[in-house]
Amino acid sequence: MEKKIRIAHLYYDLMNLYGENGNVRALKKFIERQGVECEVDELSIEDKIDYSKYDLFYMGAGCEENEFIILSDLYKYRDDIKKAIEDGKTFLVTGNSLELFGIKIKVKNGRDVQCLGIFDFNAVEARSRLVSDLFYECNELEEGKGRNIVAFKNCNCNIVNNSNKKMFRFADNLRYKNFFGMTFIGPICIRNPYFTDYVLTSLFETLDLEYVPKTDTTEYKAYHEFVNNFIINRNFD
Amino acid sequence: MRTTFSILLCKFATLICHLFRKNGTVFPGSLVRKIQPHVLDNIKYPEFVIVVTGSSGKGSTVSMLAHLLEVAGKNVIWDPSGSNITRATTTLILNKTNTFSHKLKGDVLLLEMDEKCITGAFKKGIITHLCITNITRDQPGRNYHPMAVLDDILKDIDDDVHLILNADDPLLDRLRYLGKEKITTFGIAKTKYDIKKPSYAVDFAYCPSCQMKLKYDSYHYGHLGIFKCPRCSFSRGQVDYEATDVDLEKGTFKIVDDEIKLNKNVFFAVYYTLLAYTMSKIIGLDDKIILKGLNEEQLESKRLKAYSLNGRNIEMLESKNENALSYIQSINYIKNKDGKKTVVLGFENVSRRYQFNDLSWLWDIDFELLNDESIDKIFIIGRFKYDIKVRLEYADIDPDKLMLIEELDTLIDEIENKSQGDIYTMVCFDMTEIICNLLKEKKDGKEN
Repeated sequence: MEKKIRIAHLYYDLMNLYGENGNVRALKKFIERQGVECEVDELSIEDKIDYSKYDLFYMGAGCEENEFIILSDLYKYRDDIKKAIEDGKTFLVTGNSLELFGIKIKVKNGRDVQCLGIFDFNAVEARSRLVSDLFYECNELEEGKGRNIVAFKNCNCNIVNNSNKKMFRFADNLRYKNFFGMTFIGPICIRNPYFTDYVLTSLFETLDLEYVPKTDTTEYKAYHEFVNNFIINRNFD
Repeated sequence: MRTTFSILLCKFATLICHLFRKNGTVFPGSLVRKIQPHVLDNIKYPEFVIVVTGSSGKGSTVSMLAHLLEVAGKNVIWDPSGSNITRATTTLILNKTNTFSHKLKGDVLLLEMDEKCITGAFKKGIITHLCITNITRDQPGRNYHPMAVLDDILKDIDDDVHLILNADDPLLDRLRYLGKEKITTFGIAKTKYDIKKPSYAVDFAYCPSCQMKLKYDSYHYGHLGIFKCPRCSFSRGQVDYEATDVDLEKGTFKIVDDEIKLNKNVFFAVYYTLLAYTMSKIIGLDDKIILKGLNEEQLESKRLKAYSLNGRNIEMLESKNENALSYIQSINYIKNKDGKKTVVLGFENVSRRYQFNDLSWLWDIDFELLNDESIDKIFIIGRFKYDIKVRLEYADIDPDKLMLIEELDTLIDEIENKSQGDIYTMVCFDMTEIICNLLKEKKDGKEN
């Protein structure tokens, strides 16, 4: 029987501040280009989420109010989420939703918000907002084949005391088994197709499927055009 | 004495700017604020100090309201150029203030203010009326997110200010529950143009008090619409001034029994006309005068820049980058036009204010609406052309319709030779200028 990959887009209507729908659409399209069927379920606090049912979970960025709304819902599933991660299910978590998987968020007024405590790190609210283009190097990708990650950051918390294995040399990301977490915002899977291949290669391995990147599509052309314009030639006029 | 000097300096600096053929809207105010940062606190203001803010529609509202006030014979101090930052506001006010009495010479001070600039511009108690058009996703690199924008607006607003709020915006509706005394609301009733379920992300989808998902009867656009919480009393509810019977083909809508003419047949024109009407009623303009200003002595709309190419009309719709709703409105406008259409899309820079290259907002725009038989070709231009092409491919638009232009100089010839129908450019400000120049060069070339 042919395999169908199921994606859960978690809190699609609350954690969607920066065009994050693009990530789920890219994941689906890249999977389908492999000739594998893919189904996406959009899930939120009104749904009962069965963590055993899905192969890939995606969660994006949201405003602080929404972050705390979903945190109370996430608590209900803490054990299920922990088990899914330990069982090697694939999680792609971007933006401030990564904060929720750490121990706590220390907010400016001194209050600590307890998070899921699945990973050993804290988030600390910064004095001012952190907003910047980022060009990180991903250690696990080759030069000329997506090593330069095109990303954007727009958040008000720093990740600290992060002792987990990282994909990039800064503190704001982690890789544990098939959990890929980073505080970048926006459609990073669209803008970094090689990185999307990297995530999906690992997903396909867990499902005993072969993944062969299809690099002749416009996403790759857009990536190289941007890297040439803005990273290699520093064309900021 | 210090204020007198500041006013004199502002007037002198403006004169110098004009001598050098500069418009001088920002520099004089900027100079004065360096010397006397709180100079605006020392001015004697007229009875009405009206500020219009929000993510979109500020300028159109101010133009329409100024027009109604002028039809009513009021002396209105306002800036038709649309500069909306604190330094420009300072220039405007000081240039219209008596140097020695420090009294502003007018009946009404009407200001368009950027939503980030209200804080710090005036001390509390000066603004009498604050109109908020809407708060939507806009320039995330600068504004972060809509909730943060609202927090900024409210920081320096005192309890006495009269708030005029768009009730169709669930974020603004939260202010109705803050216990402020003077609040007037406006909104648009369900229209035939509304949609049942948008395909793009909707902000403030949840009730702020009980966190239930809001139920929408219909969406006008974005998160603006007719909504209510299924559990508690949070809802759009009754509004003080409501537009009904919106008919964009006829260019009219109704308020109670009065038919109002729009000066532009687009949906957002209903909002700015309605808000100008609402504000005019609040400050006591006569009904007959308001209707005269709206229906008889109509304000001429800012015309869309119009050109032609071999008998094909070209309409230049300026779309604001980093603001998905601005693009969605342009797309809807194009879609509702008759006949075959050619679209031009693209930009050289994401922002005029900063160098960030965040493209997340492209994924909040409902480009799927361009997946329509009437669209003949879409020409994609500018430094981010491949990123835009990816977005359009994900909208499932026929790849044969997507024309990627590598060299901008070839754009006009490519359009002329490879597409049909009227031409709509849906580009950002920087690219509009470039296309105008290309058209001019083409015309000059033919004439020579």
